Amino acid sequence: MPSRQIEPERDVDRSTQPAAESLRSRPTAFQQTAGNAAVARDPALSQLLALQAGAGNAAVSRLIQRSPVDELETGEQEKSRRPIATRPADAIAHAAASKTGKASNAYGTFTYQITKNAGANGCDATIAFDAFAPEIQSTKITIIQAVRSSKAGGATFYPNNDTAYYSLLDPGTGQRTDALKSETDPFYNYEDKTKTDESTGTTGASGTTMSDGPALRTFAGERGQAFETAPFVLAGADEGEFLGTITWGWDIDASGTFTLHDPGVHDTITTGFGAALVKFIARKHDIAKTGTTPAPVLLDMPVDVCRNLTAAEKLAVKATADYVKAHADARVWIVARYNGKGGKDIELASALDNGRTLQQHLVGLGIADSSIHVTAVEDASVKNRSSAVDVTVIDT
Amino acid sequence: MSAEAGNELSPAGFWRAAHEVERPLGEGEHGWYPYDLRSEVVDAARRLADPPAAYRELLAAERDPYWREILLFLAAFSADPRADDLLIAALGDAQLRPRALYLLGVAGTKGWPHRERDAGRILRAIAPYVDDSTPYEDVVHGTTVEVGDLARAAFVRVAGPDRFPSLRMLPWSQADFIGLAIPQLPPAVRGALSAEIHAYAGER
Repeated sequence: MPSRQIEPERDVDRSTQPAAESLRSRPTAFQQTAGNAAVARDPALSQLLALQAGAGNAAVSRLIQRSPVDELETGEQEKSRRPIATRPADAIAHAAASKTGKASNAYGTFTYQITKNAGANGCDATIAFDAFAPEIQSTKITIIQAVRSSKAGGATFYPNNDTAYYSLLDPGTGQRTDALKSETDPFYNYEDKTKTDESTGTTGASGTTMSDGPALRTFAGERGQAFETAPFVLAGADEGEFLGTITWGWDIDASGTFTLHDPGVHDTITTGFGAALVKFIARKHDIAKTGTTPAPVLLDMPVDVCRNLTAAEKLAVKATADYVKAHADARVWIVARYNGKGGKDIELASALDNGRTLQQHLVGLGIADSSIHVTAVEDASVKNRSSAVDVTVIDT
Repeated sequence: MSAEAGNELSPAGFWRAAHEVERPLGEGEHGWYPYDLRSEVVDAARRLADPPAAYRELLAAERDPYWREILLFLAAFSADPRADDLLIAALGDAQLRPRALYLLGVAGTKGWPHRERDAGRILRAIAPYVDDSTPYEDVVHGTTVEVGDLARAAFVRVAGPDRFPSLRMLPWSQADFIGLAIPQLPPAVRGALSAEIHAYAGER
């Protein structure tokens, strides 16, 4: 995780602060009218133009909104998008019983092979993701996957009909984080407790792989499974960022016809995916907690003002910090939720910034960085101009 | 798993609670995780004072093969090193042997606990069954598998799949998940794998 240099207790209004206005008011033709010398004299503008050339206007927009608090680190702390025109060409071969291809989103390239399985009751899938460089800065990328299984009429199906367990992971859509009952992390191909790759895939500095064999074999009739698979930056400057998703799956309809879904790649996780992750973390806290595990903490932080933690907020997370310092197997999940009404990209960046501020505070208290996971997800229930920051301990 | 104070169940009480759940052992939704045990049973097991001892006691009395397998699954979900003792002892019971082989193999893989174990001891326990052609009908999936295939798969998983080149003859979904998925070994692979296993066991 990069260092942050936030001025203590300084509040900066992200929507009205003068530097941002100044940058926003500069025409993109500034370089042409004022000349290269003017650009050279203005490092901020040079940075802006370089970012525009490399990552496009959306990245510039985000940069402007986040200045000036992180002005020296913006390129390190936020993933950047690669413009469509400069991405590798997609190569896709989709047939009825096999879907193979390479397809890129704004952050990297998915390579996939999904085939109907031998029993015609599921599929076999291998998926790899390679992040774009230099846009993505990471030292470990893993995968979080969400699944919705269905039965007749499209109704949600829980594995082994275990409603008592799975209903508590389901935010109401049927989509849930794809992890086993005994697991205490949401990662599909990585075990957080032992910090090792699992038999279902690999993690790497700039890429990650997974394989799966989803199937519903023990009942007949209409059924299927839909997956949303997201590379997630577990460590590195872009820690906490989702690098888009690939969606895939299979169905058997009421007449018995088997269909593989056409895989699609996307730049963002769905709100359902985020809601499922929030439920997963809360539920795993409940299942794994001991008599001394601190209760989850909820902080209300702004997304339109960049500020450090207040004294009250620091006090609120002290018990969490003390506990995790004393328990090597405990993990802290910081999930900053935002409603996106002020702009999805901007609020995502600001909410994640809040989460990272808290993460940095906890690291400063002596918690290992690898024991803290941070991310941000969209949630319509959060009040405007705020991020609801959940701080949850899971005993792994 | 350990009992919560004041909330403890006796082995018999636990077994009654488990039987209130209809068909608690069922299908997992991944090829690499083909079985799933209902949470109500796992939760009830947390209330046992000494789970491995309770499972051993219940196994001695229970006669229904489906419910006996549930006890093996519960033992395999335990991080207690005594779980391996129970599973190895179960290899001596022809009814329990196929499931015990599978469960000895999956320890430490995704979703299964890492137990402190002597891998050599586990391999020596599995090895005698590698060429066992006895058919086993899976109590969840209804499919028939050779006991020897379960032993081959478990042996390879514990020893390390990279040591067995004949896995390359399998489709990736079988090779990658050897020991986790229900094995489907063609005769040629079966023979080659047995030879490699015996060679490996002989070197140790």
